[in-house]
Amino acid sequence: MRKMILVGMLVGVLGVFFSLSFAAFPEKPIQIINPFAAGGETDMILRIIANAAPPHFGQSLVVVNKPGGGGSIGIQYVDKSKPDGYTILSGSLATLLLHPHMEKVPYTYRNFKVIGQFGISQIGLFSKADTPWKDFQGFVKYAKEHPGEIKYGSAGAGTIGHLLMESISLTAGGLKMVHVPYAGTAPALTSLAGGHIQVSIGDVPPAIPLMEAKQITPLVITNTQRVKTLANVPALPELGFRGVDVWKALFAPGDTPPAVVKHLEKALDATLPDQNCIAALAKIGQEPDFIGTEKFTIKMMEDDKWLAEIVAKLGLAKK
Amino acid sequence: MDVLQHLIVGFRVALEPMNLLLCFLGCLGGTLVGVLPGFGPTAAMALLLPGTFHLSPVSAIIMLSGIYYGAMYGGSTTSILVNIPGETASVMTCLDGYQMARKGRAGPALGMAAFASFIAGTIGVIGLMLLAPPLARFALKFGPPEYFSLMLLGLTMVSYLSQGSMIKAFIMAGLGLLLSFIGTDIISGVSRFTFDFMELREGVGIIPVLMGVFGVGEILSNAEEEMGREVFTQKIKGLLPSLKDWMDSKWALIRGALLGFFLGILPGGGAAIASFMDYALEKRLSKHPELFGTGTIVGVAGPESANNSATAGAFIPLLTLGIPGNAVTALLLGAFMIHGTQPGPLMMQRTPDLFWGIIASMYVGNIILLILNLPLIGMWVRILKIPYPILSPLILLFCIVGAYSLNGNLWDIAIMIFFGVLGHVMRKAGFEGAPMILSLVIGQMFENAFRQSLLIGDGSFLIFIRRPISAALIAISVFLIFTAAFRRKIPQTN
Repeated sequence: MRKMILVGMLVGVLGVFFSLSFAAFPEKPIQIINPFAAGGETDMILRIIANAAPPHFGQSLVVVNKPGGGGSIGIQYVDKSKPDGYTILSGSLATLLLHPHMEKVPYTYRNFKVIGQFGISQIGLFSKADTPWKDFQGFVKYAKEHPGEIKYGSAGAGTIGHLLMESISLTAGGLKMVHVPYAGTAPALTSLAGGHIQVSIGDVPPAIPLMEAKQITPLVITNTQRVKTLANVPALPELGFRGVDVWKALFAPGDTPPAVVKHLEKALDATLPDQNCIAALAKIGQEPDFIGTEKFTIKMMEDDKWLAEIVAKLGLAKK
Repeated sequence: MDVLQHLIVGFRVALEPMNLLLCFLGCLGGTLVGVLPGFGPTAAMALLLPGTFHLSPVSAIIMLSGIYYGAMYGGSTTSILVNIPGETASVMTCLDGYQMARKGRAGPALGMAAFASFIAGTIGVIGLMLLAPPLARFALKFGPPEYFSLMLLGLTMVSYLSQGSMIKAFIMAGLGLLLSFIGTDIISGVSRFTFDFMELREGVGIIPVLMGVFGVGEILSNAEEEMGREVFTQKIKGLLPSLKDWMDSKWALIRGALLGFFLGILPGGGAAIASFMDYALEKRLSKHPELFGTGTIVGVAGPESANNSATAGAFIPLLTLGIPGNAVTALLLGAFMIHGTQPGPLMMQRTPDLFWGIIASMYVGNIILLILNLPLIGMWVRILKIPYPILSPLILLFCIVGAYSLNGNLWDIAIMIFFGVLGHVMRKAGFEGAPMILSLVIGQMFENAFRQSLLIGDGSFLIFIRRPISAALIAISVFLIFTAAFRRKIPQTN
């Protein structure tokens, strides 16, 4: 009997302790793990959000870079962290959905709980200014009529740009083009501006100066909708192709209590429309794009299905 | 003169008290970052970037650029004093700089490194100012075939990077190439030789390898010979280069500055390859190639000059095309964007204040760095008076902290220690580190450029000969190999 009482008291004390600690969340700074080196696009977006976050999160957000292994080191770090909401992950369509299909990694997106989407990358297809085609349809037509002639650049094999281009090709009935993979968006753009390749697919912001100087022209945006920075360039779905939003979102370790995730989701939702946040993001050509836990989870599962298909079709799936 | 007018506008911006102060802070920070092995300018700039949110764009960029070229000044210090290259570009400085320090001539080596940096930095900025737009167009002509041929030329230089046996140099170069294959292959998207280690997916980190083979290897070798032995046997002679040093180095300084500048312009080329190639060039042109590696001042002046003017060259694609050629300039691009401007072909017309302000600040920064670095030499040299049994664990500690600071990952320390042990064994067996480092740096680009070229050329090898720049570079490589084979100009000590 005594034992029962003791156990009962212990459970009671623990219960109070836990509920108190949840009520007080967050009581110390929250770390966002960015699984890439400091200074990249996502890193800048995260730091801008972190700058505007304290009044909405009730604590400061600290961006911590854990680079290595193409993002897998940082993701695994969060996966193994205490699920208390103080260590959260900045994940993307590439790192959390695409890589697990292609590489042996000890996680999938199912290891994590979604907090919410905070932005999407703007990706576009660009061509050298003096090519014989004027727009996307012209390009597709030319590629069909001249099999094997067009060389297209991307930021590497198995990157989302590569998959998008192959998806475009499949939808158009199989365009025969030669894929020239580069070690990133910048070298691919340089090679395009130098005329060594005719088209290149990749991030929009670094292409803008060359576009303004009329050295390269945008053909299409591969997102599901047009982007503000290039409002006159059509998006893929308008032309009958599948567009993809390459999202960036925050995740918590899988066992994080729902109340904590909810708190973080609400705080993120409140931070993004902050004037400081919008103004700073606009300068780097970005706009916040919040999608909450439930809606985002559905969208993520659709993306995952599409990626699994295209990766298998291209023979890039892990063995 | 248009340029002169612009420059006056630029200096008016750069000499504002606030900008002058920030330029000084950037240069100081850069020097410190350069001295610490491992902790490089990229990490320092990334950390400081959010702190510049409240500055004006010009001020922020002036400070961040100061860190970049300041780090190149500081990078030579640890190479000369304790044989630890803080970054790839200062590997070559180790070869002769450290030998000079062991002979008591650390002062002149450090002094020459500082002056070489100043002279080359200034020549580089002049080049940047006068030639930026045409050179940017030239850089665009470099497609994959041209890169391949350039890397091929770089690899033929391997024979000049070693002092002893040629065969051993080629073995090390081969090992470096093999190491460079580790990681995800961008052409097929498949991981190679990673044995399911996630840490190897981005390849073997070059900095931990450098610090291991050179720094840790040196400590192990010294410890084995006899702990307590004086490593720096000679009395310290003089703090500044003598007149003879100057006469020996003057042409090396100028050649280094020109070579470094042109290689710096090429995205992905950069300071490291410039310093390797310049060392080889100097050895090839020297009347006393046998002195290289034993502590000749020319072996410090040339590469130091090359890596600093390469820094100025690297600004050209950034400022005139908006394309970053390496990690540091990518970060600078981010800084530009955060401050609401984007460098590119139209920058000179749209924001002349910014463009010319940055250029003028680089003149100012080079002067600040020279004034800052010369008095420091006395202090650095005194470090060598610390008894080696006390100094060596401190060096090791700095190496470990530096390796950890790269990615915040213990893995990099393990890599450094592994290559430290390897470096020690290599030393005992008479294998040198430089050829391995060169091919490790070049390997990935070499292979990628080769396969990209073949894709672009529809599988035909003729693409390398059909394009004039590529053909010329290949012709030079062939010429070098033949002259080396027939004239036996390379000393064969073994």
